[in-house]
Amino acid sequence: MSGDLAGFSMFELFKAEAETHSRTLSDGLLALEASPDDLTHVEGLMRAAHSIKGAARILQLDPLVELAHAMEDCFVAVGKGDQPLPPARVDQLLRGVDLFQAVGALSENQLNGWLEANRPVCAALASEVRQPPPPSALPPSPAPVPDGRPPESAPQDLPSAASGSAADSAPQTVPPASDGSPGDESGRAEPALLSQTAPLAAGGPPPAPPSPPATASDSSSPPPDDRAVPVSAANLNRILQLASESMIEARHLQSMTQSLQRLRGLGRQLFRRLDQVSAAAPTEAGAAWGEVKRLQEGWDRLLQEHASGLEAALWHSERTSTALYHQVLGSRMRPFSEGTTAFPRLIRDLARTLGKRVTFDIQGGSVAVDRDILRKLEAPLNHLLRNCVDHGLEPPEARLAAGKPETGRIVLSARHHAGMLTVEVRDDGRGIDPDAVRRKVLDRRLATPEMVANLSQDELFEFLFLPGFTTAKAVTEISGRGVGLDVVQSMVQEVSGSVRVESELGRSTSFTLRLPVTLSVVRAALAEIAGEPYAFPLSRLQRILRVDAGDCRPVQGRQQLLLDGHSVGLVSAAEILGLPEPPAASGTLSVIVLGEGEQLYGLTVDRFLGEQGLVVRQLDARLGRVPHISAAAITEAGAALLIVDVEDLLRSLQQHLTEGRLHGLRQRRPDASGRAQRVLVVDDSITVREVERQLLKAQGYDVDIAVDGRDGWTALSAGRYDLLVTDVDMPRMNGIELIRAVRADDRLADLPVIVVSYKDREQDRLLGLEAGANAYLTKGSFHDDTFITAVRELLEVLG
Amino acid sequence: MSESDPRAKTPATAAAGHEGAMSRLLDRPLDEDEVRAATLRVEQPLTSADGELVSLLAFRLDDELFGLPAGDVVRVTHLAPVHRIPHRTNAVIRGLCNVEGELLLCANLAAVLELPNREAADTASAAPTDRRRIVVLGRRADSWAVVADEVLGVMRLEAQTFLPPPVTVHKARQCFTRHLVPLPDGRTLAVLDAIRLDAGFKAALS
Repeated sequence: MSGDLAGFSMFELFKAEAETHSRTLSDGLLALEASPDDLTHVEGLMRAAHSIKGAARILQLDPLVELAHAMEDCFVAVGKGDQPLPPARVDQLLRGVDLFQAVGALSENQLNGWLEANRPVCAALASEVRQPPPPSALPPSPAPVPDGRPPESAPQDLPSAASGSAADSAPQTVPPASDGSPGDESGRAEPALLSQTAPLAAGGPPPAPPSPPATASDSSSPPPDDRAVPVSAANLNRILQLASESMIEARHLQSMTQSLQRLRGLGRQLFRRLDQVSAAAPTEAGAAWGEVKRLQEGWDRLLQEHASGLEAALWHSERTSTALYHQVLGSRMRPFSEGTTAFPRLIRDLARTLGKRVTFDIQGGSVAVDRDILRKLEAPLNHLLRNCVDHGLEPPEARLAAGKPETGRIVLSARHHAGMLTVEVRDDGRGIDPDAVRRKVLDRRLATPEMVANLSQDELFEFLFLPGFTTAKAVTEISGRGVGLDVVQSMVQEVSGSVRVESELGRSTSFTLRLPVTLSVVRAALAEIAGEPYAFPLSRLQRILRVDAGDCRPVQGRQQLLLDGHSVGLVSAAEILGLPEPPAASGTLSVIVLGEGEQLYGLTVDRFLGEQGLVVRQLDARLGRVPHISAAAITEAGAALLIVDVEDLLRSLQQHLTEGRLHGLRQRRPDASGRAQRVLVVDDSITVREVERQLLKAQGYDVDIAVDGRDGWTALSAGRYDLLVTDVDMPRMNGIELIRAVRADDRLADLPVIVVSYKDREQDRLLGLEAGANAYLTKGSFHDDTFITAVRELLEVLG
Repeated sequence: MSESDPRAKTPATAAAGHEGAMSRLLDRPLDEDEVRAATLRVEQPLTSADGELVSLLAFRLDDELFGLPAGDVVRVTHLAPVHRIPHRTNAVIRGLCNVEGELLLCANLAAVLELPNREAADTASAAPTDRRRIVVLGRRADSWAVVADEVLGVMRLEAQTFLPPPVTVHKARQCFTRHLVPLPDGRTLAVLDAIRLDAGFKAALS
């Protein structure tokens, strides 16, 4: 051990120790505050403070020695029952922890400067800790706010305080979770400490949270094997490719043992034949026969040895390569708890500042999450949790008055559900008032009164994700709910996930993020279509059926299947993929049922090939977007296969079946000179789509609709349009990406494009126009004829 | 042990130290720039007293011989089944194939060269005696897998024997042929232009 550490300076060793013990202190303090009667944590706290004191003494970091000593004495007193541990005292002690962590983040040449600057801070804090605990805090109650501000005023002041502290450290982009510790100093308004620690936080890197999940165990130095090391993504991908290839090869080799067994069988036949020959001519063979017999036995034994040796080697090789493959795959996954270490402290500090009482639960800490997703989750969760404490939960008096328990509850949970990772942030606070949101939408002229009246609650709450939607103070019930929600949404959309708000007024609010468990592996059902394997992600499948061809009957010229009382339209997969169709199967049909609710479609395939976990490979960029296909992969047998984009396929199925495009049934509209101009409307809100469609139809345009950018892109690739009207915020492919794709496509480069968005900030407008939109309108433009005028102008000028 | 041990050890240890440094140097991962520089260096035709020598990977399609500059060939490997890509596969673009763990776009070389009377190659059935091989050509990120009926190996040919393609050659083939090289055995090898092939394949994608 000592040999390993010889290369480190004493200060490096101290830093490592300070980091470990700071965690112990922080976790222990939060645990002790939550359950003050449970003194099991005190011993760990004492030991941690003692260890820091000893280590600091070796390096002669006197201010830290003094502080750690004071903290240790305090813990001793608490342990003996001589002193209570009110929240104000916990605040002081946590500030001490912050100082230790700050030292842990310093480089060696920064150390002396820091010590000089913070000597008085440490001394002041040490003497505070040696004083009896602040009297106002007896018994533990939410009332004591450091600056004596009455809790009633907190909700109003908060948006500025909270958004201010976030904005100071990093405007727009969300600060990492570690911002919770030093960055929060400014929010907590501790005059003595503020001036010293704030520059420190800006200067040195913030203390990185150690990788292993937080536990209250005191001597938990992180196991060295569990630390994370950076690896380039390209390198990891290539390793993964090679690992899967070696697994496939090991399986291929199995056939060699079989051929060896066949060889052995042939040998036996040969010797049996010799036996017969010798029986026929016993005298001549007599002498040689014993020799032949010996040869046969030796030959057979050797072959047997080789066969079993080979089998054993293959077994090992397959096991090793499979283990290697899974290990490489697994190296992308980390427990959910690894991304949540900073949150308990964040919530505790924020609640203290606001005079609120909160219990915070993290559920599903061991759920495995792709490390990329985990990293991207940190900022959105930070925002959502802040929002819960700031605005979701009421002050204790208000809660009591509403007949709820004084202490609010926030739950952060993660679980795997239907092949997706579901992360939920839930509070039992005041909820969101839909009427207040409606008023706000109208105030900002984001939609017409008729539209607002028709919006479903889900559609209405979508407005909360607009940038800066609720910064105004007028709507107090939801004030601040908009802070950072646009950040949450854009992160979620980036990984093709979705986010939902649900709320019961006066009772609860929950934000549910649905994300892919990993960006790299998908479980899928494999099916052969036109002689080649295709994969259907399990999360998108309804059912897999084998049906008797006699059970399908044609209705209006199309094959139908009755399933649980629903009629399911049957379509040949080969036909829709544009592949040559195999001869019509008689007897049984293999059917994959896709879709939801009433809208079910049956896709007939050649046959099923079972289920596999596939490592997703992006399609070659040179292919562009391939309709109905989302990615490629390699099967366990080593063959290339394509992964079906089920949603895209569903849309095509829907169009094909409703328009009768299949079987050549489609009736083409004659291309007369008086042809109506065609407009494609792309928006993910059905209400907005309908408004736009009706406005345009009233003007005599032909209107097609698409439900998101990718759908729109498919429609544009397939049909001819004179104008594109698109929203910006949409799942899968947003409006900006859609416009860029249009402008990059030779065929579509001149297509006029109008953006109609709720986003009305100047930078949003610029982004749209830079991407290539001809006009950028807000949804308020439906109020007057701005929208129609813009449409007409563009079609007349360019059409 | 004996006293000579420490003395005997010293040079050995030193050598081991050098060896360690040496293998660290040789085993270090190359970055893309280094690989590119090395490729360019290897790609340079070797010059000798007799004249310039060019390394070509020679292969056969039907009865005709073709060559690709060795620097334009990424690797040669066994056949793999090709998976068609819906809405993209056509006469030139065959589909995707798994080449040693990498999914590569597979193109039909015979189709862009418009070789006459060529039946669609079925790469799925690869008997051990099958001489067909996959040739991966192009640059790392932009490579193409094509199927050759037989790969003859790398030939080093003198540049001065190269002839310009005659105007009479089929138009499509002329477009992709840089030189014709008469071989000692009387046959002629057509040297293909990898950059134009890449453009030809890409044109079939859109």
